[in-house]
Amino acid sequence: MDEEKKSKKLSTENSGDIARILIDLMKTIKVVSVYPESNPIPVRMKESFKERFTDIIKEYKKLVFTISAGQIIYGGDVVYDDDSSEDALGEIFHSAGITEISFSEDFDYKEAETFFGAIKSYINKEPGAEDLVALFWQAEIDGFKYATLEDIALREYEGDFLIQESCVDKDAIIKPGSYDDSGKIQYSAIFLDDDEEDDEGMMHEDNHEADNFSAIAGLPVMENLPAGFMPSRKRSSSVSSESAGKGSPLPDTTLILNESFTLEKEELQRVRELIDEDEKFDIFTDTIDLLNEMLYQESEFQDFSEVVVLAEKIQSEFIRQSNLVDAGKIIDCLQEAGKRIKTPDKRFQERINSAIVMSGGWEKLSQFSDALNKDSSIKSEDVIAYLSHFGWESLSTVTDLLGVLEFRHHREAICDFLVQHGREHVDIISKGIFDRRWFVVRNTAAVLARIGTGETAPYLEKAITHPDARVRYQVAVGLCREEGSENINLFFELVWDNDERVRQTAINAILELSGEVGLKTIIKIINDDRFASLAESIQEQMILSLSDLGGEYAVNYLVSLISGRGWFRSQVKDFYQRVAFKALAQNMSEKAEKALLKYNRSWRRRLRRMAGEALRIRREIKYSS
Amino acid sequence: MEKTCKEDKRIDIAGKDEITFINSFFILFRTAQYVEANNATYQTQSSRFYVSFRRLVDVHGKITVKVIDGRIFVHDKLVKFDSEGMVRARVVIDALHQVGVGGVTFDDSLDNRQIDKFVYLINSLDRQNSNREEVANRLTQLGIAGITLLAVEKKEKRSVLTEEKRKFMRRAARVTFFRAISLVEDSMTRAAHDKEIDISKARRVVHSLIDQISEDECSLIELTNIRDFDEYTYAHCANVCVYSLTIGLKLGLDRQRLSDLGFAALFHDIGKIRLPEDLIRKPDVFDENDWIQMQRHPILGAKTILRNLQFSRQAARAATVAFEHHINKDYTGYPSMIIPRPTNLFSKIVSIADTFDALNSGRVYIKKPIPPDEVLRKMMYQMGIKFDDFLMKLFINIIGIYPPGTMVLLTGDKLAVVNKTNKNKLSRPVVRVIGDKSGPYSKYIEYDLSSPENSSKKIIRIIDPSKFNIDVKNIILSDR
Repeated sequence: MDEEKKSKKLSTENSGDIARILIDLMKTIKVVSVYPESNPIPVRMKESFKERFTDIIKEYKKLVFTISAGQIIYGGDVVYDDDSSEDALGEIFHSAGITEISFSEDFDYKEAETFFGAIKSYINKEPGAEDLVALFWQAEIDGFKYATLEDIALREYEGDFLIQESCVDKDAIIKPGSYDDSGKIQYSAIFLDDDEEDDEGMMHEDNHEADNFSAIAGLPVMENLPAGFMPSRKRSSSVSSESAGKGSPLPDTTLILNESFTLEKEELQRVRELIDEDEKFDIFTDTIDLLNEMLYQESEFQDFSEVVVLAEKIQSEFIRQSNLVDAGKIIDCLQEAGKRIKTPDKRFQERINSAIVMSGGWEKLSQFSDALNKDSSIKSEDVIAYLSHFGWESLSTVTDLLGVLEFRHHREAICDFLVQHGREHVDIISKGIFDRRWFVVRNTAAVLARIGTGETAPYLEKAITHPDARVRYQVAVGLCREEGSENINLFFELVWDNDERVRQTAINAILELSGEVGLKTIIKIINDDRFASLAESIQEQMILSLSDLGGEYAVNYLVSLISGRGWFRSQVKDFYQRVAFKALAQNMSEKAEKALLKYNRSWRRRLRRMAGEALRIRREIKYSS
Repeated sequence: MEKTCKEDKRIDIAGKDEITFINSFFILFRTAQYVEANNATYQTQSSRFYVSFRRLVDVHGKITVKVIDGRIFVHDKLVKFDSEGMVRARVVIDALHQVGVGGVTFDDSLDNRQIDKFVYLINSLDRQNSNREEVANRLTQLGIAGITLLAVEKKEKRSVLTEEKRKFMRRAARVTFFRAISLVEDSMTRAAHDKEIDISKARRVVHSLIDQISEDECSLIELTNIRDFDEYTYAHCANVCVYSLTIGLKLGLDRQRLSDLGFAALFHDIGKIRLPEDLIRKPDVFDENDWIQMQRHPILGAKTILRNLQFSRQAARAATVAFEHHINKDYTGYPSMIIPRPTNLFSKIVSIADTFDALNSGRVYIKKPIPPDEVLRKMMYQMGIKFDDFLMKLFINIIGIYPPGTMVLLTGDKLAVVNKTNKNKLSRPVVRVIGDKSGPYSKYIEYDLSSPENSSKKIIRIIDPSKFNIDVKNIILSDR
């Protein structure tokens, strides 16, 4: 076999080994990223992979791969090719901007563990988490190196550097164009440097420009320094190389070396305190503090407005990260800034107001609804607390949210908010009744029903005629949650609904009513022509309730049920008689007793029996209570 | 990155006999953890092990088992395990490693009983308080001469910094440093045109700086002495970043925080791009109006960062540092806060680095440089009032009195540039002598002034190279 073929065969063998190990790597990554750490499956897979991979590394010493879209290339051969999904091995690196990876002999078991940890964090990352390159860098894996697109981009900068180097004449340490181009160091000038004659040399202690040092960080002027810190100029300039070794005053720099400036062990403990303190940095809270300070700083309108724009941008970002609490704090921050304004220029306050109103506008609330739909863990109280920052101007947009929110508890929170804040603005929130989407109508109807004022009645009347029973049902449920006489008429209408659930809800609500309102409503229902079309059980409940509420006033009606309806028996007549006697038995009025006693003497045996039974029940009720 | 191919020399893989031997040893070891030596199960395993032992030792005379980098070699042949075998092996490896044993040699004089004693000895050890020598003594006491314990072979992670390596590091430092300056320039230009700053690029540069400082901080610190840039603002930002990261590393900040610190330091003065260019380039000392304008750069910096960067932890920290880095410990400075509160750790670090570089360079605010030792003295006077005293001390201990890149005059009429500080002797750094009265040397000579043979050499004073037209940049960039 000639050399070329041998080399190709060898190359194919090599590639085969590498390809297999990459497939193993991909499988291991998939398993590791899905299963929890403690699960034995990823533990076994990692152990097995690590052993095989470190074998390969020991053989090859170093493995270098080029990454392109979906492909991993080794030694000119494509050893991995899968662009089918973003979870494919090549795509994981490629999407992170990594163009080359290499493994060396340092890549041992421990490093492999760290490597998998970094990739797992990247694959399962949360919003705002580090990218893969940053994770690898933080992991500090000695045996694994990588190059990125940024490294390629950064090489563009090296042009300048190369120019600098190429221009450097390394043999010349005297600047060109200096007063002496002899190439010799003017040692005598250095040695005999006289500060007093030099106006352009170094800073001196008594130069007035020392005061400018103070201005750099608001430092005070350097007055009344201890003598040790303000050496005389003469002393510094008179030091010569000979005298330095002959017991002359020490250079000032030795003052730095006194003990007060060396770190003591106790001070090193301070490191922990500083780091612990720094851990309290919160990206949200500290940014809000910063915005607060910045709003305070600006006295020019344009600068102030710029900060407000930034506050709006940051607020959007907080919402996007599902942090409604801190997003609300930014609005508080703007409001506080508004209160602090001292300038007579009204534009400042107007700008603040505009920002707050815009926060409750469609664009911001769209971001808000997107965040809610991505994160079901956002609490209802946080939703309500955030929306409470806005005025009536936002009610319309908030109402629209009912049509886009996916999670029930978020919709309920919106409803609660609208009930609390929409009582004075029914005309705004009621627009949802006219929406063509049934769920919007439903949710709006639920809100209006709970508000239950006279203003809501026309809209609810429209809602109870909605073709979708779910809407009508929601009206019934909503009406049940809030008391109000305006609701009674709506309940009356819902009693005749063709959906049983709606009907029953309305009837249950009516049966819960008491006093005159309840009595009148039941009378109205009973007097309605459609009463007989109701289920017997409902009719029975109504009649019993009538008796209960009406007392003696109901007795005449009950008697009419017994005596009326013709001579001949019928199932209907029997039903009404039975119910009437039952009602009389529970009616504790004297008139009811008299009626029963009269029927107890009736020549009709059936009536006599039923009356007797009713009287017996009556006595039981009377004497047992 | 270069590509490589398979090496000719392969590792030998253990054969069946070796695998049987080592597996049975591990099984024996594990069995001994649960039962006594007279237990039937143990006896069976012991017999099996001895058979496999004899099969090997009769051929080779002795059997050496070594653990290197967590992998097991029998007679220098790698034993490959399945995952179960690996778990078993790991128990034994860990037990041996805990007492400092990295391998065992069994010779053919061993009998069954001696092996049993050895196995039970290892199992019974107080591993926290035992070492290899003690175990060896116990073996001797037990009359087991046929077992030799080998030390753990430690892997050298970092090589010693040879001269060649140092030169390489210095070159790498230059690349990283100039990249940082270019990145700052590019980012500030983009910010000035309201374009988004490339945070990924910036992160890579900061990571490179951190890696460089971790390996050899002095190679970067000396570059901070180059003052020949037209736009010194950008170099100043890079310098502050280098100083800040050095402090951060000394504090032991984790990598994520170091990355945030470096990023914040790199862009701490980004607000200056919104100031008039004439003001930044003004050669004369600032007047009062100039200062009023200049004092706006912190808030302008915070605004620029928040506007031109996607909001993230790094951006939030950088904006805070940009805003706070001129606020002093006693709440003086600028801008004045509505609610005075302690500034962030990063702001304190950058404040120190910023002030040091500004005064040392003489290019940022004051127009004439102050020698570093004098700067440090001025700053130390303000310790506890303007600067955090602990951080200030830490900085001094890093920078030393003679920071790398400082030009100094030595006794014996020699001119030198400080190469590296000596932590334990700040006044006696490592210097490169570049010349004397007769002229510059063709090859610089390095002296470690802290070593006894150089005790006669002393630094007389610091030299301002610009005063004598000495091009310090050439010296720093040179590999002579």
